[in-house]
Amino acid sequence: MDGQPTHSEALELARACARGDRSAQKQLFMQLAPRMKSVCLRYAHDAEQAQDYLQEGFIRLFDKLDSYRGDSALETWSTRLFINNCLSLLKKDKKIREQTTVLDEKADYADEFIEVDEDILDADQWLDIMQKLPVGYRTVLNLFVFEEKGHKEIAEILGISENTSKSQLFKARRMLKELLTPNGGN
Amino acid sequence: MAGTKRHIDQVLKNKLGNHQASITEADWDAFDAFQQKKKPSRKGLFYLGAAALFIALLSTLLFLNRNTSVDSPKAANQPRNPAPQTEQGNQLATKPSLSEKESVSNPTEESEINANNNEEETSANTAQSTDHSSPGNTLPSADNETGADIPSTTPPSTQVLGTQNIESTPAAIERNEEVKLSRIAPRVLRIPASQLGRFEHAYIAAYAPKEDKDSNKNLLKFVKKLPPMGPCIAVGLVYGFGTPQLSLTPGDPEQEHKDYAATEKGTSSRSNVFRFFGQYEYRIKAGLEFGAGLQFSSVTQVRKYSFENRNIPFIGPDDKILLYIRIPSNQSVDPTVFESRQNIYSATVPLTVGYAHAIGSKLRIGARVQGNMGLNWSKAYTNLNPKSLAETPSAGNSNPLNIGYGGGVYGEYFYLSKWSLRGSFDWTAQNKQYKSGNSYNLQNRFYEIRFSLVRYL
Repeated sequence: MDGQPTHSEALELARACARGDRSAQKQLFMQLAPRMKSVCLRYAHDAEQAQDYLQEGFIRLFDKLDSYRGDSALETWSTRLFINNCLSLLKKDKKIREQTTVLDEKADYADEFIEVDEDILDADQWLDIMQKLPVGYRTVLNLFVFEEKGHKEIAEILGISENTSKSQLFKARRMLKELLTPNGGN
Repeated sequence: MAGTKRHIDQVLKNKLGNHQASITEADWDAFDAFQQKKKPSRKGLFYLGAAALFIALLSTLLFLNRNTSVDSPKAANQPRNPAPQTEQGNQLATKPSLSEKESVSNPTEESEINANNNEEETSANTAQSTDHSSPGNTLPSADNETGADIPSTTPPSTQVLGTQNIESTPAAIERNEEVKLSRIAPRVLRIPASQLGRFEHAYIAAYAPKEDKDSNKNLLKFVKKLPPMGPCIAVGLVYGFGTPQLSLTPGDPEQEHKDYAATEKGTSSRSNVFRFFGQYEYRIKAGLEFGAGLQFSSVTQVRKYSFENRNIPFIGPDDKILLYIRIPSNQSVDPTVFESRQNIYSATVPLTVGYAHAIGSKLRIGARVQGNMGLNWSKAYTNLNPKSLAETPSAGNSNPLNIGYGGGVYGEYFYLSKWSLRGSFDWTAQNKQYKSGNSYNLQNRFYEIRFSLVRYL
């Protein structure tokens, strides 16, 4: 917890950023960017796209900071904003819908229990593997695993059916498993 | 050799849930360059769009007005105090507008024309004059109105200016052709006296020579001193009062105190609004009018709260309410008393559509609806923290976009030929003033009294 700003410091920093104070903006950027970039890397298909998401996200963050009232931690609030931003940018690409509407609506995608060795890869390697997933798989996986959304919510967010969301998750896990096997990624 | 086996979801969460990517100064520099390139264009675009819309509307109306008035350039361009003329038809052509309450007592008496140009005296009144000094200005009586007695061009009997919605040429009117009406602009036109009966609904002012009282009576039945059609500019002030409509966004139970909703009523509230506006309006036939302008508003909302908070929330490290500590009812609790105050300043572009009807020669009543869009600026206000139920500053949470609508009725009094005073009573509404939930959201509902000074162009 060392180095983390207190609630009042975060509020003060947010207000300074909202006023357009560039040194405050830089401070906040350096403070939040590592976490936000990780979020962007999870949603993007490569580092370049993640960098775009990061920059667009911070533009939006500085634009919206005047509405931050300190009800939740600044990092939590910012993460939500970045996730929404990533989803909105992904929706603009229209790739999610294109890649998530091809599966069998009637199939039963049971929650498959796939076990993996926790230490098989480090975080950066996991990110690389996630980026190899099709955008639809990756987005549903992100929302289900990291944002802890149910399939109903995911369906509403992405404008897809509930069963499609289930199928995307099912396929995403299978593909991850395949990618983890030797030569699976090639 | 192998580590702990876990569900793939859990492994992902463990590895990436709190992962932090590496960031360097170069990332900031890249973002800074990106920001400098992108950010200024957003607000600029909004202002530019609003200004462009206003200018486009204004220009279109001006252009249409000019374009349809081009048929009478001589009338429009001639000096208002021409040299004395003996030919009555020429003198008539210099009269710019009929609904201006200009009256001409005698075309050969220049000084009298000038004196009457902007006076209250109406052409009808002047027409009652009994000076019969100039036989050349004699009007034909109704019994004697025959086309055969009237010359085809600038006939002496052409003693009427039609200024409203008549598009046909005098020659066409003289030939008894079907009268074409202009859709937008008034124009100055000489109408042969023999054809007057065809223009019962046109706004016609008589050129009323003093010397033939009987003939004037024939003309006066066509005289309608209604306000001019065409463009005008209105400036004015507004005072409004009302109560903001509060809506409480249903929140997350972990983010919102369970007694939060109970505070909604408050103990008292008051709101008011002051506005200053300028508006360009254009009136077309059938009483329809359209307007666009710029309006600055200052809205103040005050709401007082007083309540006993007996459930003290315990907020966990993740900033969520974990549980409540209940203060027993046999223990006294200091009431939480505070005043929530908001000041919102806004600049908006109002667009109006209305319908007006003339009553007599000096009054007009109308109704209109309006929509407006613009920007808000908030200043120094407080609100209730939904989690702790304590007073909290919430400056900056105001929605920057101001979208409003409303409607009302008005009355307009013409105290000079081109000037009027307008009073109106409106009801207006505005979009929610806070950007997001977890707090009371305010929507203005005002009753407004509006005073305008109007100059017709």
